[in-house]
Amino acid sequence: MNFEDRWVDRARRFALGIETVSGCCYLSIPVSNALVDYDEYYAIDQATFDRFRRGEGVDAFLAACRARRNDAQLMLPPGRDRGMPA
Amino acid sequence: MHRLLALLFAGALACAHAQDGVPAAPPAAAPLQQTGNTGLDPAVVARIKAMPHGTRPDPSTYLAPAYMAAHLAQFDHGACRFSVDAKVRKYGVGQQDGTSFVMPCNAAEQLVQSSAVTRPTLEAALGLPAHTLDGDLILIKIARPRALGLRLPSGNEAGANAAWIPGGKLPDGSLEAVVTITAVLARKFEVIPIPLQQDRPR
Repeated sequence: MNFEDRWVDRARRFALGIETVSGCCYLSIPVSNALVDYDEYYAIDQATFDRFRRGEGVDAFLAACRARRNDAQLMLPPGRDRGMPA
Repeated sequence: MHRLLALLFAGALACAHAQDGVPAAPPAAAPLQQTGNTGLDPAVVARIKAMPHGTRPDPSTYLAPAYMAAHLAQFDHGACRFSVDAKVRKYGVGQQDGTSFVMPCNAAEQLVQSSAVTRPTLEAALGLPAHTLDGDLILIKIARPRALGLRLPSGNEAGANAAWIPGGKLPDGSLEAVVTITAVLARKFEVIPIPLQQDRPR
């Protein structure tokens, strides 16, 4: 997989991008476990990507991701030591 | 995976063994039964762990000063943390509360110096799902972590997940501590790229 960020909101700590192998759009958030910092990637469609890029509805989606209510959209399954939103 | 974890933490465990003999003076308010290095009674561990995130007590209220001093001394040769490079470029080194968990650098360096390290084995050792390390991995090295407020984690840090336990150790016994690290303090740490074998198609 090859995740390419296209837009980053540093203040709200998320990125929008495209996984170039599949062409799938994603929203990513930073997470951390005791050993490593990494990103979790949530699949979204192009219309949602565009809407989030305009800032529409993204806060609610981010809150759901951080509360693990959007796990069905994770592009990589959680690991053995899943990180916390960081 | 266990073999790799053993490599990862061999140095840290060796250090931990050196402090086995450190007496853990019982806190005045609640004398604790000696159980392992922390000197904490399992019931105390369970009670602290069950507290909601953000409400857990400062470690100095339940750990002996001698234990804390010996623990933090294990980081005097440097504290390290792994990160995906893209995360640091986007958001900086620290977490949203400015804290960062760290391990003794000797443990991290043993892992990256191993010729057996591949992306899948490293992902497994770090508890990550496959393909998380398809991008570049870096090691953040803090030569003098006490300058960044090196301390025992309280469990209130943004990165403290359900696996956190009181006493500065991971469930497998390896050592951890916390520093406060922000962009303002960027000159106080070094970012080291980790060469990994490109052993699978992206």
